Amino acid sequence: MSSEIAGDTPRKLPRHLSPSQVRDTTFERAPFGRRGLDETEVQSYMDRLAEELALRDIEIQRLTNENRQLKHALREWHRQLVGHDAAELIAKAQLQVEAQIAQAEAYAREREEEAARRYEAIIAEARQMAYDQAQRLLVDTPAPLPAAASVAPAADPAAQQRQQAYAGAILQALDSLAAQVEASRQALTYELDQLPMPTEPGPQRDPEPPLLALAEVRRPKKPKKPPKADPATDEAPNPD
Amino acid sequence: MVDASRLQRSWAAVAAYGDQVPLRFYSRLFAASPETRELFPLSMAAQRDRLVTALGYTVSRVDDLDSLVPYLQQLGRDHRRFGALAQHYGPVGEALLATLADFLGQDWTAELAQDWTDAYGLVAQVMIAAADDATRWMPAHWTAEVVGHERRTFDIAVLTLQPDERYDYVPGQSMAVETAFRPRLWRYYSPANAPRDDGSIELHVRRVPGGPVSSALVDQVQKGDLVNLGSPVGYRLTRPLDGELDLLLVAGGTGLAPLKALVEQVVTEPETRRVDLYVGAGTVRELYDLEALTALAEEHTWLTVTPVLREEPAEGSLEAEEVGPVELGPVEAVALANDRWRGHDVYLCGSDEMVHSGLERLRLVGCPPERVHYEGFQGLGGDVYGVLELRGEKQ
Repeated sequence: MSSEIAGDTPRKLPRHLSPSQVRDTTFERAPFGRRGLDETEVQSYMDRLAEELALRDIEIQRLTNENRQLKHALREWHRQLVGHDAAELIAKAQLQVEAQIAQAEAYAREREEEAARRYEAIIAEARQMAYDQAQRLLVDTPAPLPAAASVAPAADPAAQQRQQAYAGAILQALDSLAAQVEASRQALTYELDQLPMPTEPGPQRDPEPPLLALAEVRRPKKPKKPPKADPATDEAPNPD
Repeated sequence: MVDASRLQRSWAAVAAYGDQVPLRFYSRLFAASPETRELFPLSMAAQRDRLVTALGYTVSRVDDLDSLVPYLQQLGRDHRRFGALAQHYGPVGEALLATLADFLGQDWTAELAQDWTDAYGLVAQVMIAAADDATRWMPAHWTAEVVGHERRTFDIAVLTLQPDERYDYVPGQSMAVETAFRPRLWRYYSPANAPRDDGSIELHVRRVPGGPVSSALVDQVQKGDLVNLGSPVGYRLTRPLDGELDLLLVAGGTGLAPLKALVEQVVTEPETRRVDLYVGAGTVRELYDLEALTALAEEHTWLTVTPVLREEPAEGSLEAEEVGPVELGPVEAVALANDRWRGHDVYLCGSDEMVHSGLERLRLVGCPPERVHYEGFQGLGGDVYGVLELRGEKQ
């Protein structure tokens, strides 16, 4: 065969002999005096071969297309037969689950916002109360007002005592309120855990201490209102 | 081979059906391969949005492989933490094709099916190869122990995490976090510190009412619990390599976290530069990290920290006493007043509202956009890759 074919760039796919390559192939003439084939006969055979190849290529193309169509039809048939109904059911269930989750989350959001507001109010009230009381305490004694709770070096024991009293008043009020707030926070956390939130296996917490505080908050008959301040903090803290 | 415009036209036709499309896709996937259900959270609403966004992004760039391939590689790597395996890609492709066929009806021809088959084959191949490659240099996810959990206010907690393996990140990046209390729900948070020798990471978490992950992180997670971390992502708030300018950092709420990490990054640098940090909050108590910031500012003269309160505390109140030097107003307004941005790289992180307002101000005064770095909680400025989860939790 001539170098025309051999010189073709190699492709990734196995190389096929195309009809035109067959048709255009030329052969060297046999050297003078040597025996050779009839040139016309060879050429007409090559032409025939090229034609056959062309027909075969067309046939392969046709079969490939048909194969693709059949596969497609099969997949379509399979899709309509099996997947559809099951998918419809799953979709419906999924949307129901999501509606429930959304409801639970909305409920949680309301409770959390309410709890945050309550918390802020309690803290602000407690801080202000402690501050006011301490101020009153200091006004009673004719000494310059110390700035906030800063622990400035006190010159005389009396001033030092006043400052301690001031800090003590604030701390005492805050401590007792912190306990209440913590109880109310734990109660909230417990309530949120009770939500119909579809839970998945996760670490479980023992709901121990919160339950106690909760018994107060959750009792249905009891009117729900912000926990009252501890009576202890309603009285002026004793400076001594 | 793939006729891109034919593919894109068919996607546009299908996408017009909205949420029905991803709903059908996942239903078909779960019907055919029930084991894949395990990979997803109970509520799939957010997941469906993500799928449609990712598909839309991919289809729109199917004839632009230079930008598509890196995106798909990142997507493939990122899917490792969800437990996606190479064998899942086959059923996903089948479900996708079936869904397209469902919606396209008569227009779903064998030729179009071939286009989609080829395109999906390419996508899967790139994603699988990238995921496979990543197994050689990083875990599917990291596990970290909660070694510290400190409630600073009713709804803000500062968590200290100790990852089980080396976790390399750049200050300003964020990472997906999952707690066992809310399996398969990942939310992005930023380390609030520059990488430390002991590898520990500080997170600032604000509970968003109704937000399942943030409330679990603030209320339920305790010292000793484990959380999962995805690989660090995002370059919106990281500093440019050649950044030589002083820094103006504007933080709203827990948007402080990535900006505090930037401050710590400057600490480690040989060359110091001026850093002005404005920290916005509603009340004095919401300045939840002021103590640490003040300590930093006392230690480093190049740093100034300015707390900014939205409203003035009532006169005679304890807060009015407590407030030291503080500015009043929206934090972005205070920080960007008086041309303070000049000569600075500006970083904004906080609510979308705050970031948006800051960007507007900077635009109006003609601050060059390349000096401005920002990220909003609700995804302002685009997501990390345009498709994945948002930082923190949606309000």
